[in-house]
Amino acid sequence: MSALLLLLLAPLFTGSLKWLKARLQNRRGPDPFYDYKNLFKLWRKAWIRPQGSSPLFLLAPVASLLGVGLAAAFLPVLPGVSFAGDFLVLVYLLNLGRFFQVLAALDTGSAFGGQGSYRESLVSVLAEPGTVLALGAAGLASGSLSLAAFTPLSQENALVYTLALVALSLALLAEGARLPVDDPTTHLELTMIHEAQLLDHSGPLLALYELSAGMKLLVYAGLIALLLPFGPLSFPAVLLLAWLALGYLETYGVRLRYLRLPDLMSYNTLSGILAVLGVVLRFRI
Amino acid sequence: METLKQVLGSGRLVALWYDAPHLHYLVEGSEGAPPQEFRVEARKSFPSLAEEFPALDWFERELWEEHGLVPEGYPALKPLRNHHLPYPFERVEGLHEVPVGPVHAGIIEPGHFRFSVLGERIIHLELRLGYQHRGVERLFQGASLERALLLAERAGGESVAHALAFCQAVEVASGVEVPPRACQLRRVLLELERLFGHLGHLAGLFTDIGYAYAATQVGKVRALLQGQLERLTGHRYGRNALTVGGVGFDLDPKTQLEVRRALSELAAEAEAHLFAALKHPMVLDRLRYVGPITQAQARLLGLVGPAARACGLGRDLRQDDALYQPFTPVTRTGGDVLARAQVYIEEVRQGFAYLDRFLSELPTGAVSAGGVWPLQEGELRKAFSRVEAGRGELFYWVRLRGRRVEQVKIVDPSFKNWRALELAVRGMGLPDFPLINKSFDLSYAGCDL
Repeated sequence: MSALLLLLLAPLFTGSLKWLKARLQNRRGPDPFYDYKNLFKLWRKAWIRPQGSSPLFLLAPVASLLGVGLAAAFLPVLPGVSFAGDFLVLVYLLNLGRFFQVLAALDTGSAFGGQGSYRESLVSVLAEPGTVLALGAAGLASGSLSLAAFTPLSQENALVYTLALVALSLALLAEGARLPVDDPTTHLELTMIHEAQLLDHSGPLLALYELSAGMKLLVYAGLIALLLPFGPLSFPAVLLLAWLALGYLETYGVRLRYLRLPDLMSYNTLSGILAVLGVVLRFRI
Repeated sequence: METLKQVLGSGRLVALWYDAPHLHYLVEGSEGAPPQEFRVEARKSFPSLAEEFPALDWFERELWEEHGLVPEGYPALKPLRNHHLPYPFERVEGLHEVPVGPVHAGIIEPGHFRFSVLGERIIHLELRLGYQHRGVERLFQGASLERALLLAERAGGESVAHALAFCQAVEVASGVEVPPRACQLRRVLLELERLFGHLGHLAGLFTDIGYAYAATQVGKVRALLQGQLERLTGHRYGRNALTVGGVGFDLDPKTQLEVRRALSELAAEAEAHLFAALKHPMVLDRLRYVGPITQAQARLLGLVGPAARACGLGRDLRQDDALYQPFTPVTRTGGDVLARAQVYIEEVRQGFAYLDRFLSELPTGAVSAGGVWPLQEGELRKAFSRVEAGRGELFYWVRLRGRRVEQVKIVDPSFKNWRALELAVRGMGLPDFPLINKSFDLSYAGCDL
């Protein structure tokens, strides 16, 4: 259920984000529904496959969307699948899609595919511990390791949840390949992280990748929503907030130097660790 | 030869060209002194000086490629623009090689960059250009002055500067006097071109670091400046505005006042955006200490323009121009991307001030030298001229016969500055390369000709 919702919402979110950024920069900008049209256009186009690549090249975009889609199914924004410890499955399903994406980019044999792969792997390694620890801490604080049973933010768990929210917000930027970690609008191959992996994919394959990237962003927004007051009901508010925040950040912000990335992501890990410590030592402020 | 070496040791090579059977070395000594010309006879070969003076490197390879003159003693001779000859890249043992280009993901000019990297760190970079080689100098041969002017405007990235340098060379050769009003109008166009060029470099820098707001705003000012250029000349890049002997347009006092007013508004807007952008701590973090060139390296490579001025070499050809007096070149000492950005910004301020001055006290009179062409049919004349274009010193040498151009030599500032990129990226991270490249923002077409 929630997977379907995110699938339909993702192009609206990314498309209108482009519109918002254009507006903030005093440009007219594309139609907010542009990404639906773009996906439709890409879907009808032909695609080419680099010489010497394996079927993995075709499989990866499907696996990527499948991974994100299954992960989204665990998100209790709408009723869906749920069991104890499902947050771990969610995080690693997201990474499953990336795993195939990295392999496919290496498979093309191009210099940029390889470059994008090792950079994206680094970003993922940096963002993963914080995300898992933050969700684990939230689970421990609510006394249940199932996402559906997470209790919303309250006075009781304010400290732990605040730290977890910091970790998840940073993870959203890193995993969604947004500023200041990555620049989704750049045309410079040498600076690319996420985009460098997609350079060889075209047509429907690119459409699948773009759709899954948009959905991934929304999955992280959904995770943030779970921890806020009213739980899943705050999802629309989180989307709006993330939309505005990303719009402003990508207009007035500057991308970090790539070699400074670990500095930023260490806050993510640190918040995750502190959140767990907060639960374990029962700092229930 | 010995005096040439001596002068090269303390001075800077302006140009090296072949006017059979002599090689001409034009070397500028200490600041302010007129450049000295040295002639060396060369029929099949000439002694190579590139190993001692790296600034001559590309010039000697060019001579070999264009005229078949062999530089004796040149280590590892390989082609510069010719893609039909084998080109062995310098390999660094044990390092990973990253080839980039000549086709890029963005809509930019073609060039090939071969990086030898250790992880994300660039140890060595080798440039391979020549993809834009159109044989411009050959096309000049035998062309009429009108056609030659059209070619000059399309030779490199800066139409006005190229047209001006060509016209000046022809005027010196033929003895045509340019009326004062035309002289000043030419400077107006030159400064407008420099301004929109510099703003383009800055907008590009902001784009590359993901600072979308500043990039759009600075880009907007740039576009509006081009609008003013269009208003004056009918063309957004100022093409067909200059003629041999003057300019091809005039402006009435009303337009003069309106353009002046529009420019002062644009100056205020550019100032506000650029001032704010260079206070942004993350902008400073991205630009500072990235892509440094030392003053010694700049001297060795014979750098020109903002790239040289950012290393503390205070040379700007406008120092010698009577219309610009008093003139102080903008210099910074850092030599990094930030220093180059600061030089661009300071020169934008300076350019707006000169534009205001030129437009407020415009001399009256004709805008073009009329009368008959002074050269007889078949009369031979030679001359060179230099213009401070946005990217640096632009050199033109022409040999005229009557009303036709027999031979030209163009040295675009980009031709001298490209090598600096190879040094600037050493030890830097691979993701910083586009930023360093953009801080020089050199012309591929102007270099490849």
